[in-house]
Amino acid sequence: MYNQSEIEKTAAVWKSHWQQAKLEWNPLLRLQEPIWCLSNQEAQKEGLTGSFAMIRLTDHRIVINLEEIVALGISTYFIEVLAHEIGHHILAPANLYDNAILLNRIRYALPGIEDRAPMVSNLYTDFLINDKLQRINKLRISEVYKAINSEDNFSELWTLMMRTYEYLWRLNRGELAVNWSFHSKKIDADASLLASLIRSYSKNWIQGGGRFAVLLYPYLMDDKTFNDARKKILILLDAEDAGSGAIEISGMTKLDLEGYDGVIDMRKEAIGLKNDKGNKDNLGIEKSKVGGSGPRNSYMGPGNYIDLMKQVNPNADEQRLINAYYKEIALSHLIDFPVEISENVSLDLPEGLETWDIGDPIEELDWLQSSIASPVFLPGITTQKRTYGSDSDHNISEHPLNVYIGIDCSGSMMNPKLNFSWPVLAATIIGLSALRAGASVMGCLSGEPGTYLETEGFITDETDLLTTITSYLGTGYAYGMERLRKPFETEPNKKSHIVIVTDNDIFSMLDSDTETNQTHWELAEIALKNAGGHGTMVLHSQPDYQKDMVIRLKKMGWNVYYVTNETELLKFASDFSQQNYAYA
Amino acid sequence: MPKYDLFELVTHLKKCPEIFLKPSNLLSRDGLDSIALISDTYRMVSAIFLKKELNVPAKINFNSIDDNYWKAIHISCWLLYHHSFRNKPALENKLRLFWFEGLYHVTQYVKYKEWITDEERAEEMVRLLLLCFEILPNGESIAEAADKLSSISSVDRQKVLRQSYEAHERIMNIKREMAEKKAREAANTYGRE
Repeated sequence: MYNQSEIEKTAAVWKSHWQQAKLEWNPLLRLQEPIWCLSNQEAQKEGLTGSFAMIRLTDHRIVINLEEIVALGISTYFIEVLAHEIGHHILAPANLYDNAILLNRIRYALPGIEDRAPMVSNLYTDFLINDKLQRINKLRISEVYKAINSEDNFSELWTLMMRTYEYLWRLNRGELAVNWSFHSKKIDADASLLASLIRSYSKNWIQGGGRFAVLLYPYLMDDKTFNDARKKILILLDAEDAGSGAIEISGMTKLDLEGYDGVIDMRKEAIGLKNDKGNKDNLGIEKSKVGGSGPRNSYMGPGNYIDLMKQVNPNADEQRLINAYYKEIALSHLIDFPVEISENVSLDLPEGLETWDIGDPIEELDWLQSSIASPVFLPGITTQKRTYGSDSDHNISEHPLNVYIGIDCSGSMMNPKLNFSWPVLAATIIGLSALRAGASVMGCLSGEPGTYLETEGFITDETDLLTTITSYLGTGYAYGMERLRKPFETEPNKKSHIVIVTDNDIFSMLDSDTETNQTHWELAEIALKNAGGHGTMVLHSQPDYQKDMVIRLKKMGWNVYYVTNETELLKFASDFSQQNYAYA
Repeated sequence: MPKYDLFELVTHLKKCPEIFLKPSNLLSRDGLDSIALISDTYRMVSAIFLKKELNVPAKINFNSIDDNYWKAIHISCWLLYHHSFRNKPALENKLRLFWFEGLYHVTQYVKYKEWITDEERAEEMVRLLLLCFEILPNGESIAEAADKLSSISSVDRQKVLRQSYEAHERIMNIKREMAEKKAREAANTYGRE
């Protein structure tokens, strides 16, 4: 524990220089004053461990641990440290979206060791900020590093960082990279490339993230070396968790092809070999990783999306992420927001009288009726105005039917958290379109015999619905017809459509023994009748399979929609939503 | 004795006029008269304006010099126009070493435009010239100057980068083979089930 009065004195000095630090970036900059932590415990409460400062993009705050700053002997570098932290808010990563994009591009360049992306991103943005502050603003960033550096800190990675700064700022060898035992020609060559990268991409820094990460790859790939280096470099990591607490960042599900093209090995460029955009084999990037999932193969897989978003916000809830993933992909296929069509109804039938008050328009004052009511005019007491009614009574109202969405979630279906699931996307499109049109939705996953998961009846809550349909069971062999009993055994209050997404195995389910007097065929017929709307069985099957049974279903009134390829589910879901919920 | 300030020389080099980037007239009809340019530079450095013979190695055949090398020579002539190299007869003999040995090796790895667009390459040319002239940059010791040149040397860098690129490629190949083997084993497990 350092002398408390020294820490308080330091706090006062740092606070008094906050405005000056902001001026290093922009005189019009509006940013809240940092959270000044006078002890390590206070810093820990704010989530600051390992380093002496950090930023949070979620609430645009900077956290400064003054005890650590005094301990490191850098209390005189208030402008440098504060301006650096401001730089993370102004220059890089600046906002949650750019932070996520950069992380994604860095992940492309670190196949197999994607978990190291936040650290790499932090080091990259530090370079961009520090180079600007040292070279353009003439701040003493190099002195801060000199103060922090001790021979024990050094690893190959730290040496590479320090050598890069030496190249960037034309310092003599060893001024920052003080531990000479790590110096090598290899580090020099890489540092020189890194320095030229930082200069070249100082403006379009997002584009340089992939290249930066590729250069760092050899220094990060060995687990033990990485863990040792990380422990030592922890003190520099002030933006690794910058996105912590971020809820959903839209626009991240799309595959970033530009980012993929930016994963270039500068070593290869420097020795005159061409980087083939289509073939990144030498970088260890497999095509399948960026091959794309979902509509037009233009989205990243759900597993990658969850991993990425968990790196943006380590506290993110996986279920919320998967909900957001399918919702974002479904959005462009939803029906337009329903518009209310109102007729221009004339209000010209006199209906009665009301008291005219002082706040009412003067032209509404009915002088005749007011005089009849009282010869003395007392505004708000004896003054009267006339009210009028509509002369039309043909008020049309349309109510969309509810929808029941049953999804076969048996062993033959894929886990939507790991692989892109077309049935889940289709269910999301229909469900969200129905909610948008004002209907209620009941979702049910069923893999039977085994388990099922359903919403509590027909609901209007989007999160509950998505949470149900994006879950996974992987039990049994088909959708359980028994699930239709609860909502449709008797006629519900409001009519409903029924959509069941399943495959050939549904016929085995329809024929299976119910151990009651009622067969599943009968239940299917009663349910459809009670529902009162359309019933559609979406079958992943060849159209001529089980012809007789299909005819029997059709006779009951069920529509049977064949999909031979799961991608056709998207067309079905879009068409169904347009037909049933797009009134406009 | 002038102070050879490195950054002043780098700044001068980067201001190289466009005309110096033209190809040699030995390679292109509209090109720059390279021999005249070299001769002028010799005269300017040696301050002997009636000098006629060129001090070039006998084995050098001007016709065998490629475009990239010629342009690097043109650019270096601009560098030598800096006032600190004028009237320095002692440097005259060292020009040969710079143009036909030092610069020759580097031009194999550096594209001519990089000498004036890339800060580091510009510094490399200046340092290389000063090394050939046996001049220390202002404020640097012999060891510092040697280390700084070595840390930006394109020739060294090429060697190291090639080695580290190849090592990286070997590792990635091993990783990929291991991943494929793992995937095959996993596929076999499903097959057995």
